[in-house]
Amino acid sequence: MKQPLIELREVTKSYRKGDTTVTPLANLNLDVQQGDFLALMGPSGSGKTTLLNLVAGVDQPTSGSVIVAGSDIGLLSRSKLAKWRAHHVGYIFQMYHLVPVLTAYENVELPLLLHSMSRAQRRERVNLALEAVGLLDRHDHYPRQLSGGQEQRVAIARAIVADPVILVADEPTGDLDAASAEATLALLNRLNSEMQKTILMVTHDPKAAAAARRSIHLEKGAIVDAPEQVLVAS
Amino acid sequence: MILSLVHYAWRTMTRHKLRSALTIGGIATAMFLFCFIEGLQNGVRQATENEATQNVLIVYQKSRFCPATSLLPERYVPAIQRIDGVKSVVPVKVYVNNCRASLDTVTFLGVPPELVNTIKKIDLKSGSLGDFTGRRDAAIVGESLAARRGLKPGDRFQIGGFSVGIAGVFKSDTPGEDNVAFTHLEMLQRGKAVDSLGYVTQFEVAIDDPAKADAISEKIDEMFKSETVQTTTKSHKAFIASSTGDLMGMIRFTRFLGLLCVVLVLALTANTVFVMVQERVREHAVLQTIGFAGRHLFSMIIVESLLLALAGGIIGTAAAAAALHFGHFNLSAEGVNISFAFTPLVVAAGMAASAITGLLAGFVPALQASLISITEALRRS
Repeated sequence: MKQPLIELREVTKSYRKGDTTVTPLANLNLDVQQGDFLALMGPSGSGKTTLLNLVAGVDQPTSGSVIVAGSDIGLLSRSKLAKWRAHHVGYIFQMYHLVPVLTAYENVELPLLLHSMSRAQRRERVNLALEAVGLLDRHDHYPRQLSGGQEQRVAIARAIVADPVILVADEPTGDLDAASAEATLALLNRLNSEMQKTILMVTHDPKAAAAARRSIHLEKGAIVDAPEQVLVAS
Repeated sequence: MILSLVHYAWRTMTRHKLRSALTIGGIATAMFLFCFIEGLQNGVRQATENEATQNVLIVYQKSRFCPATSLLPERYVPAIQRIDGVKSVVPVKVYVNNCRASLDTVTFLGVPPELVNTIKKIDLKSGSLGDFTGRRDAAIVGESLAARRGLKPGDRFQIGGFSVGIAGVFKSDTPGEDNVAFTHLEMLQRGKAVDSLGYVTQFEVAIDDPAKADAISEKIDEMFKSETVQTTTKSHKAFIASSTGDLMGMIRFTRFLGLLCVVLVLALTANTVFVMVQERVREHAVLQTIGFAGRHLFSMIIVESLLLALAGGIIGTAAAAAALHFGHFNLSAEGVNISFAFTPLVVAAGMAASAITGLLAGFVPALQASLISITEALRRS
């Protein structure tokens, strides 16, 4: 069997909140193959976003290992992890989180500032990303001049511009109207099928989950149902 | 990368235009004061450390400290002239229009007209030296004094009981010197109700070797020890230091005020940067998610802080330069003039103070932003 792109082994994440210890994930095991589009579902507090953050290298496990594209990212230092994120992950937020004082072009260009590229190379990549999301003609617009759906497409362009292997999306349609949500899901589907991006998407919306190739459900930090390809928490 | 950081920091400053403008305005005001004070201190430094006056001694009447009360007989000149190591002796009558502290004091230095080039190498910008030597009521004025009073050759100028015709305007590289007017000695001696012909305020003695200054000073004072009018001879530097002693105390106090200005800039910039960082906790978390490391955020915030401080510093320094250039301010004590000297050194001090405060002000907020965990920052926001 092909080596999974993402391997989580006995992953536990816990943190202190006041006097109590919260454990959003406990002894979790999960494999995700390259080119997969996985929806993570579950009630609030079930550990979906924590799982997403661990895979994205935004957070590190308390115990266990998170191996993504051959690297155990739980062992990387802060600065190495930042560099790893810049090269391997594109993150899409529910609230888009574009920098308000930068234009669409400049927002998309941000991740490329961390790569050794000439201005011309950056321009080519940004234009390609904006074209892919259908917003090349809005490159000089500021976020306040864009609709919610357009802002999310710019955020997706920002996530893909550095050509990462993994896209993680935290409720990407949660703040959008139905039409914009549908367009965003179609775009994610296209990125998965045409550009072979591996996508992990947290969602509460069954319609959004249906757009993914498969979905898993989490409850109290554990996977409660498991499609065939997924290893269930031990 | 650095250019991109500066670009990003600049855009961030424009996010809250009014707040940034108020901060920059506050910093500019403080830096204006700082540079003004630095200019004064620089003027003092230049007046006391002027290389050109290292071989000049000033002979004054003993136990007298004011130009109005020092009355030395002119007949002392030949005796001093004969001392080994003395190159020239110029009798000078000093008249000051204002004995109080003022930023617009006018000092007349009455000298024998044929010796005016001995006391100072005159670099005339306009007018003629011939006109000065040829007319008893003629004066040549320093360019700062001329600019302050709007004087040009051909004009008449009245101070106290003296009315002089402007024969020329001269330039001096030494701050303070271009705030005086040279007149004929005899005019000043005869000009007042009490005729002081034959008496002068001081002698300016040029010597061939600064190392002999103490020995020659002692010799001069010894020479007139048994006369009714005794002398006190000092190096030019020591004379200025003693004449401006009270003023120096005030100037030392202004140094303290200058430091307070820097502290004010620090507090103002730190407050603004701190608020800016607190407002953008989520944005910084997003940047880290994209791949920016703690050191990138640190640099970004430091650049923002530096830009704020330098923008204020540049405006404040430029305003101080303009005020001092067009104001031609001049302080005087007992006939000694001290001008505000706005030199590249003052600009450098202003810019350095701005940059250092910018760096210090941004340090703690930058460190906080660079160390915060992404999940914590996203959760908080």
